[in-house]
Amino acid sequence: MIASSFLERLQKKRLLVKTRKRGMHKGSRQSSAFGSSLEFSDFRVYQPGDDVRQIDWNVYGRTQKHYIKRFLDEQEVAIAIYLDMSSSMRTYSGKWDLARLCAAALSHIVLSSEDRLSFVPFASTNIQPIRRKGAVYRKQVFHEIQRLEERESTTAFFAQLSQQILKNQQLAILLTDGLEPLDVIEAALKKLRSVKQEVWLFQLLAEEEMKPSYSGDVKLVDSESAGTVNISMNPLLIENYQRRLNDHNQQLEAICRTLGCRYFLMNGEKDIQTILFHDLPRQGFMN
Amino acid sequence: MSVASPFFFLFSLFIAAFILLYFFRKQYEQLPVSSNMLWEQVLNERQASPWLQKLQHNLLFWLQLLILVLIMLALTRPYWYGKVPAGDHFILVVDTSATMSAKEGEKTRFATAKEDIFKLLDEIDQQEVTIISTGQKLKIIANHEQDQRALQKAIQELELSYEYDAMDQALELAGSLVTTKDSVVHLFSDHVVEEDVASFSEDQSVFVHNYNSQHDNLSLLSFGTAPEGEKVSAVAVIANETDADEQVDFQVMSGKTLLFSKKVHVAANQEAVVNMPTLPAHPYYQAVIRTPDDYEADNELTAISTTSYDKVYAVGDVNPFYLAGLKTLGLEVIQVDDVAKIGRDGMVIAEGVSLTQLGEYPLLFIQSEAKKKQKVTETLTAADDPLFMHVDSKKVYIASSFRPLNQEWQTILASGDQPLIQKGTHHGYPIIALNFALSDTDWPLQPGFPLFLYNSYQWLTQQTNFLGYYQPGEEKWLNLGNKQTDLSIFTEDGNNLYTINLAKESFIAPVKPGVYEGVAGEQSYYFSVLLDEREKSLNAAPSFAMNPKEAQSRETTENIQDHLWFWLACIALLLLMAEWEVYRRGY
Repeated sequence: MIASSFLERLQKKRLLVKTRKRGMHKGSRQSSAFGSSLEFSDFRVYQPGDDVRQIDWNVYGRTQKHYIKRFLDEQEVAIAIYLDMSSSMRTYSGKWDLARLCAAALSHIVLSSEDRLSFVPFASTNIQPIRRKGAVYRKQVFHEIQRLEERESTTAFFAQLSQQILKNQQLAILLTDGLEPLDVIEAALKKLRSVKQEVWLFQLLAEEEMKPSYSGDVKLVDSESAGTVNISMNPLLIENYQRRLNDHNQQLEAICRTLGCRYFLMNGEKDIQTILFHDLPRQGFMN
Repeated sequence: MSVASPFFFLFSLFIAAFILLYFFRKQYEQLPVSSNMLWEQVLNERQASPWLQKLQHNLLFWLQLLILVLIMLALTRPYWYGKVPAGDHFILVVDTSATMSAKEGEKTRFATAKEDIFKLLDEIDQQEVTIISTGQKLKIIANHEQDQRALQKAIQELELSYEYDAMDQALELAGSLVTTKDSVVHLFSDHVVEEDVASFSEDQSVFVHNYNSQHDNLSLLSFGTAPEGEKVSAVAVIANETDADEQVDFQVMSGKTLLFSKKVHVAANQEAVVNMPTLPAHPYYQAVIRTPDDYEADNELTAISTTSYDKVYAVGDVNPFYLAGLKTLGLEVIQVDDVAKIGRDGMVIAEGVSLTQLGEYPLLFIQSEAKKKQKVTETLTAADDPLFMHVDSKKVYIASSFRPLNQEWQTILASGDQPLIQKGTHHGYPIIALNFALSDTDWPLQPGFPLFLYNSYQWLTQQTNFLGYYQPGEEKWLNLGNKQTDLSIFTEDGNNLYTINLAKESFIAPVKPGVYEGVAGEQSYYFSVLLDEREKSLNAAPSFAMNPKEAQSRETTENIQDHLWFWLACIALLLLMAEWEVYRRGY
């Protein structure tokens, strides 16, 4: 169970979105546009047509000229969290729990900061996306996401992603394990970048995937495609696999870097607290 | 229909293993995994190496090809010719007499002969071999035997018999075994000459191997002892078969005690006589000449001292019927008044004297107390004893008897529970006690009476502990007359050689010459095994071969060696197993 202290600590976190673009509605982020927040921005000479109510009469009293006081606008950021719910995520319960917890925590943070949340579970059969705004909903959304279930085996995250990108988002957070062909992943990321969204790719790998401990003769059954591979395990083989995994991850990171996305590898061995309160802030994702 | 090589039914084990293999094929444990993408890449990389791939792809092919080629070769049954000695049937005659125990260099002649036989056996391949060993009784150790292992075992177990080698009998037997086949006779001895083998047919090939290089031998020809009063006198004859005068150490011992020692000078090819007029009395004597000649068996002789017990000492007032009966047996009866004068060379018969006055000797004691007589009322019962052999006890009438002196002695004749005649030991010597006066019976009138006296004499003097002289390995039926039937034979040093059940088996003397002790129950007997006179000299003759002309022209013949097919088939089987393993791994 999640301790309430965890949620309290979570309330103080904010996602550090680099993009300057802002959404339409009022939020709590500062915008360089002039709006109706209380932050003083600058004075501008009065032009006919400006709002008369914005004239700063103190300045007129001193300078006998009409100046408008302009305020910074507070606006929202639309953040989309895409969660990979395909069978590959659900094979290991530790991984699945971490994925849901992470998604729930991020959603909580987003809602706490008065940003617009769009949570899209991919590769699921009957779960609808969640669109919310407002800190009021954060606790409910947290628990809802954390308890997501899926029974059927589903496949393909990035392929579907290419088709179902939400427009008008400033930030897209992808929670996946990234075990798909790199070209597919690259295509999806390119598409995301083409709509000028900031992309954060969080790759979540289970402990059993990073350090497999199989031995003897095993028949590995793919959770998504049901394909099988017969392997006689030996340490040399496992080392080979780990090397390939590392290569794959590094290539993924390179792709992200090329495309300007941000990449973070979540290690299934660590617990959620370490990741949220230690690793992500250190990498600059959060405050 | 039957099977030529039933040994190969063991192959069914192999077939069982093969069936088990199919049941225990590689089982893969199923494991769900998030994605096989990387694992497939790993597997592909493993199989990507071109050389390895080519090999794996073709491995099954090459293996099966090799197996087929090997099977084909095995079926063609390749063979080649090997060299073996000529002849279909080999008859080996081995001399096991005492002269073969002489040393030639480091080993005895017998050991050298055995080595040569082993060498010959190694060369022989699938030819029949018959082995005859000589001795008083010829023994055929192997008969038309082809199995190398059985032959080698038989030769290994062959021991010297120390008997006189009846070589002519052995040659006759060998001759009779020669069949129409191509037989070759080999003789392993030390003194066979051409005349001996003349009994064979003209064109029979005979190889005679004589093992002797030198015949310098000193031997103790004879040694005898005779008792003279209290002492014993002995004579020995030493023969010198060398061409030089020799000085030998001559010693007479009994057990560990040295009784006589002398340095004797014997001229070349002559004999020397040694006299020993006074030797202390001992149960047995050993005469030894200490000389470093190679033939040791003839340097030692033993003699058992036989104290002859042919006198009868009569003490006290003996009934004249006893004395008359003993005289008819041929014994010398000496009447003595003084107990101290009784010698050690006979039995003693006493009447009218008290037992305590007498000493220690074999004794026939007759009670004669005037008082204490008991009436004999019941019928007489005789125990089944050698003393009463051929004596009819039913006709004997005894009026009265005395009380027995010693209840523990064995009862021979009793009336009810009154023992009339007893036998036992008194002070370590045998005693027969008669508990009645002869005047109270009518026994002297019966023919059983002298027979009883004779049996008593035999029994009393039989305890001389001497069984006699024997030839090596001589067989004889013995009846020691005791209830004990097991006779254990010990050497001088006390080693137990073997035990004979005299009721079932005949007594067989040990093979090696020397003094031995036989123990039956509490009694011990000495006996001596002597060498045959004819074995005491080493004759010499060189080795020769008769009629080797046929053999020489083809000293060796060719023999088919065709056991290669078996090994080829084994290799093919091993490769088959390898192929299964490759297949199982699923390359």
